[in-house]
Amino acid sequence: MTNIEVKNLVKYFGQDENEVFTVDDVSFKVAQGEFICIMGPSGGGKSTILRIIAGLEKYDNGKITGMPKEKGFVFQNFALFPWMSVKDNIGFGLKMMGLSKEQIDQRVEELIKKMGLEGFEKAHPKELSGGMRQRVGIARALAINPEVLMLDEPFSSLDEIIALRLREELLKIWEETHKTVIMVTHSAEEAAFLADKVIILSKRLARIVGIVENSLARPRNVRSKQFFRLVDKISDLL
Amino acid sequence: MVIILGANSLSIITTIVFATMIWPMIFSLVGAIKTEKLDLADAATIYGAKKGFKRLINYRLPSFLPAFLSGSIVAWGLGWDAIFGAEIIARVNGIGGYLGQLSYAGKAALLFLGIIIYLILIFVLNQLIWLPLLRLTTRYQND
Repeated sequence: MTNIEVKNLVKYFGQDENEVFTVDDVSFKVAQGEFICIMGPSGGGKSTILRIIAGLEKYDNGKITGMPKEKGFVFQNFALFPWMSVKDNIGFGLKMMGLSKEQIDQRVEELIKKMGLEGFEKAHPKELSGGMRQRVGIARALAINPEVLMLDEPFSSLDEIIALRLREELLKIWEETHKTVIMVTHSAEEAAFLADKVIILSKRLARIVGIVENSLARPRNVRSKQFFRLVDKISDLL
Repeated sequence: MVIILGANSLSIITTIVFATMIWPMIFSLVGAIKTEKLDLADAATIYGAKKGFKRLINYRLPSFLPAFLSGSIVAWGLGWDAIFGAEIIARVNGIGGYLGQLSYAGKAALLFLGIIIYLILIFVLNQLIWLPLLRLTTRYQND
């Protein structure tokens, strides 16, 4: 269990003379058990940073340390395997780890209960609503019991009510398990409600323009003055 | 292939049928690879189906199955055409060859009946094999 450190991360896009930075000298630390939000304008490379940390994309310079092997990743568009049932989707990571069928079933059962997916075990992703699909996505990420949970705009493709509910559930899960969470979002309110620390990136090429420590006590009241002030502070930096 | 197998009727038929059927299969697979959902590939990577045999079995094959199947259906349809023609060209017995002979002999009523039987055969095989498979995979596809 270590802290994650990203140091002078650089990524170019394109080749030779046409090289453009997409990530330009980004450094930050994530303490173990911390909830971090990465924010920035769309197309600003925030997802790229998350994908680099997750090991899905290469980078050109810099250093990332403390990243554990097992990590959960929740995708904006769910990325559930359409040919698998809900149960098999959740158990996919465990199956790849080579666990026995009994062990997988037991763990999947737990997560189905935890995420409120009872009765949908045999359904296929196509037959589920967006909110339910993302529940499966989160369950799949939690199944392997990762030290780090990464989420790439997990609620942006859901409607507002569902998004609010899932946001609260995510917070509850984090409070129970105290996993390290790194989440990309474009909603200042979401970041203010969830995060311990908000990393704000600049327009176009991703450079850190500010890191806002969020020390509001939980549960956070989204109608309080302090909350609005914090949202304003984040929005101003954007 | 004709060179390898010799210029007998079997080799001519095999060549014609193979040459017609291979293209829809190739194109549908190329299409599937080009429109591959990148986030699904990422999910497979993150959750351990990273490379080699494990990735092939758990991610690649099932994700290409729908395209493979629709390619097969087109190939199968073209295959019917091809075998029909090939039998006539190679002058061997078979549905195509038989109908060809009827047509040369000018037996219109029998030819008509033969075509009807041929169509029924195709229809029944589609109902029994291809449509159930297609239904199965559409359920497994993303929308």
